Amino acid sequence: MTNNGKSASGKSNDLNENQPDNQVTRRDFLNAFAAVAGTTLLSASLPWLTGVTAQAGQAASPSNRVQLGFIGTGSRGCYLLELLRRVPNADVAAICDNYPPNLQKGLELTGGKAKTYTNYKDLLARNDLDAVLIATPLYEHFQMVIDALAAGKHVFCEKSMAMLPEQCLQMVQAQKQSGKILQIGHQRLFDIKFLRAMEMIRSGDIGKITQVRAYWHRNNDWRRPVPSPDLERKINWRLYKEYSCGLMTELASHQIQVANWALGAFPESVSGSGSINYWHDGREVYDNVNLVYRYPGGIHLIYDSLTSNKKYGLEEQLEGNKGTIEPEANRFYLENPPAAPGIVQLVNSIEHKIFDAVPIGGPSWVPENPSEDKGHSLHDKVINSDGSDMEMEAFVAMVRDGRAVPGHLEQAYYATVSALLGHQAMLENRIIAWPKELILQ
Amino acid sequence: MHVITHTFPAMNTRFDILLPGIDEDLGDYLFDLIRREVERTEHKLSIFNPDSELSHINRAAFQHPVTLDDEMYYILNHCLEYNRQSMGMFDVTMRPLLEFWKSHEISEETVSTAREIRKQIGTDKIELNWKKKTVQFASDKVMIDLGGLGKGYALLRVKYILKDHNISSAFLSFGESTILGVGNHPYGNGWKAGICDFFDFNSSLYTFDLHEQTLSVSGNSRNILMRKELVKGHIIDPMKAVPMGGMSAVAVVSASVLDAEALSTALYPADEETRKKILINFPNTLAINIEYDEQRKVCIREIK
Repeated sequence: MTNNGKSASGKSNDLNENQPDNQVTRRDFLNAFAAVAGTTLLSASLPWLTGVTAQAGQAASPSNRVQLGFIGTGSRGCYLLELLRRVPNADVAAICDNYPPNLQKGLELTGGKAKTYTNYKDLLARNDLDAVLIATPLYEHFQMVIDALAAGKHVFCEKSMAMLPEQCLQMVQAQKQSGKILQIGHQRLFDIKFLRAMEMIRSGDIGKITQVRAYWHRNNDWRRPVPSPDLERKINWRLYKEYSCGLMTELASHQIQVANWALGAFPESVSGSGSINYWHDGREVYDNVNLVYRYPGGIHLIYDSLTSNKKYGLEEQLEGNKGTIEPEANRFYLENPPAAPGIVQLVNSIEHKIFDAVPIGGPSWVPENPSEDKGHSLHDKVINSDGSDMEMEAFVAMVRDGRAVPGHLEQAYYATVSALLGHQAMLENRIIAWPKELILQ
Repeated sequence: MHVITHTFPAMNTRFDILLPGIDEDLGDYLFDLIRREVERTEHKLSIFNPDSELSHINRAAFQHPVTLDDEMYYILNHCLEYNRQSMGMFDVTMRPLLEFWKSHEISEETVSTAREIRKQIGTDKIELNWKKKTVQFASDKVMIDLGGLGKGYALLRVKYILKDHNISSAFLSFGESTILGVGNHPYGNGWKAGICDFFDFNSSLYTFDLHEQTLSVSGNSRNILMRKELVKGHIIDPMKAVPMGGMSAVAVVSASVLDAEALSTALYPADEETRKKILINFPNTLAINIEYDEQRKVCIREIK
């Protein structure tokens, strides 16, 4: 039970706990987020935002405080713990990990205040915890989430949801029966770049999306240092099929979630091929994957991930007939240049039945970047965040209010099941249609 | 009044079409037709596309006569005719000088070098055989760059498309430097187009009434001017072999798209006497000179 991995986005934690005015920074950050995200189109999907921004910079009252338990204090877990330290009304009262070095790191991040556990069921038995966060290896997610919901806790669980589609379905059903919040760690749902991208898509700015290309390329062996050989499978669980579905569940599910979100749909079918073609080091999961997902309307997501070349990095290219969005890079590109200002003015005057001259003529207009279209920013505010911090803010706010973000669990469910069906398609070397029994009712 | 517009990139600038009073389906059909025609023209006439017909001519015409199709012959014949009628001020062979000045500052020595280059180029070294429909260059340094005339020709093709489809009202802008008014504004007679103030694009320096006419403007790029980095412009004075500087422009209105385009290009670098002589060959043409002084005070006057 340890998750030593870095944040799935590959970003390391850069928070400085010694910032001179942490609350002002947090308030500014939240307000900047709200200024960009709080538009008509987006605000409906961010019900927690109003509460979070209203309380930003205020001391949390005792009645507002949320008691949390944290299971899995590996690298990702510790990253989330650091982020939680910035949320004023979050108290991490208990932590759990069955790998002592990680448990010690987690304890240090709570200032030594949290009670430690090595068995998560003991942590769940506490009655004073409002919610638990789970950042353990994939194979442990299912049972831990089921148990936590049964114990009456709100739950945050890192992505992906589980190893099997049926388990994901059971987790959704368990959430419904419990009435508790189940949030899965898809931080792009809280990343301002992606929220802005979705707003542009819903507004028709890039026209009809007819294709998505997504890729995640790295050049490393995806291994973590192992103190002794008997810990190999425990530490490097991502490389073994008993514990992980490899690139599909650890990376691709993030990007398939973006494609599903952008298209407002889940795939009808998937085909693909994967192999181990470079890292012949005893791993059991593919070191490269290539898939084609087909969505309603004949739209495709073309996906690939590899671990032996990093030139192209990661991106989701959302391609519409009027433009392209690359949210990871915070860019969008229009197929056509903007109309001449004089033309816009002329249209306006005709609509107002005015016959007048418009200023238009002059030496020839040339594009700013004629040789290379560098596109435009999705948003101009510099928000140094991949969404994980807002994800933590949101979870705590939702636990406090007892209200989940509508549609988020469905997003996570379809992202994980899409990844798992892709994994199955590669293993079985066939086209897999989305099973009817896996469609949420 | 319902108005539909479409903008697309072409020839390193943008093409804007405004069609009042037609339905969306017809508009989409026309936009598609127009875009494809402009792209076809660009593909044929671009010197930046090595597969274009013009690139082929530039590579081969010194070695041997190159056979032209009717369209290319029509265009090149106009280039020669405009060169003659403009006392040599309209010249499509100045590209080597433009390239030279991109990497050289103006000095006595470089001007001397430029004049040597100038001797090896010029429209007089383009030989058109009207019987055989061929072109041949008399110098290996000659290359044809149609510049604004290529845009003008594409706009002429668009004008024909609109005529073929009985479009009675349209306003077209090719890079804002070439503007065509077809028919009437929905609430007026003809169309009105203003020349933008170089320092305030939201106000007009001068307004033209366009009655089935084209307005063409030649001058230094607005983007360059806005960056305040202007030292050497992109238009070469064919007589002096140096790039035009300063903040100035010439605007021409003519019933002919090609005349307007060629004339604005020719008049811009020409001196006053030459301008007057050129305009004698183009009656019913209105030409305006726009010039800013160092205090950004503008002087506008008709050339006649």
